[in-house]
Amino acid sequence: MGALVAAAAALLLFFQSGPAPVDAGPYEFAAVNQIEIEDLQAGPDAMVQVFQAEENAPTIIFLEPLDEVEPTASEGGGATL
Amino acid sequence: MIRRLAIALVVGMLGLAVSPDVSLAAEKAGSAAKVGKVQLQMLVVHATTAHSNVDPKLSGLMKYLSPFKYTGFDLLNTHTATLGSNDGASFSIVGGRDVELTLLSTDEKAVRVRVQINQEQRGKLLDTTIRVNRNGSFIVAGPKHKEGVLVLPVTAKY
Repeated sequence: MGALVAAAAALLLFFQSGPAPVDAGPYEFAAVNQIEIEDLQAGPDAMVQVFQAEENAPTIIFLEPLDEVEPTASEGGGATL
Repeated sequence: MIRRLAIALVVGMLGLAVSPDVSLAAEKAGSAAKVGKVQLQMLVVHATTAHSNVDPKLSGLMKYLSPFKYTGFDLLNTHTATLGSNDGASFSIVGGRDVELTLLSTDEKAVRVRVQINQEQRGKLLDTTIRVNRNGSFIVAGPKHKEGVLVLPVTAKY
């Protein structure tokens, strides 16, 4: 009997709650993001650099078509994504 | 006879009481051995120097991009595909570019994903195969767009 009541309550909650919102909150990354690049090919007129801001951060594969390269390097020599 | 019947009845009732847990355990064991579909999600973000507004949905991305020169980040689109092994999905993004994501293989710990970016009139821009951990992400960035570049975080959720 108790199980029936619990099931009915669960059904009621399910139908009252409706569909979950699609765009809920900010986009979250996992705490650990480890990748292994098995193959990497760029077009003949493009350059690729690989960055990782910190350990377990998502790796950034930065693609820069050579004819679109801007002279943006800072004096400090840092990356210029 | 009656005693045997009673014992059988008790054992049967115990079996009924235990069976849900047993079936749940069996189900868990099955899911551990088999990886089903994987949801690949790709954001299309415009990183720009034209303004300093940041879409609130991108707050988690900022700490990884803060060392770079861009000040404004707009979320242009979110693409999602639920794929099995050897399935692919193609997305058109701004600038006449197409991004094709192919799920090459999966296991409990990681997936192998091929990412191909092509652009009208230029052909192949990038073709890479990456092994990424379960629920992990990587970011492809660089294609120019207006006063900035496109940033494409890709996440494998399963």
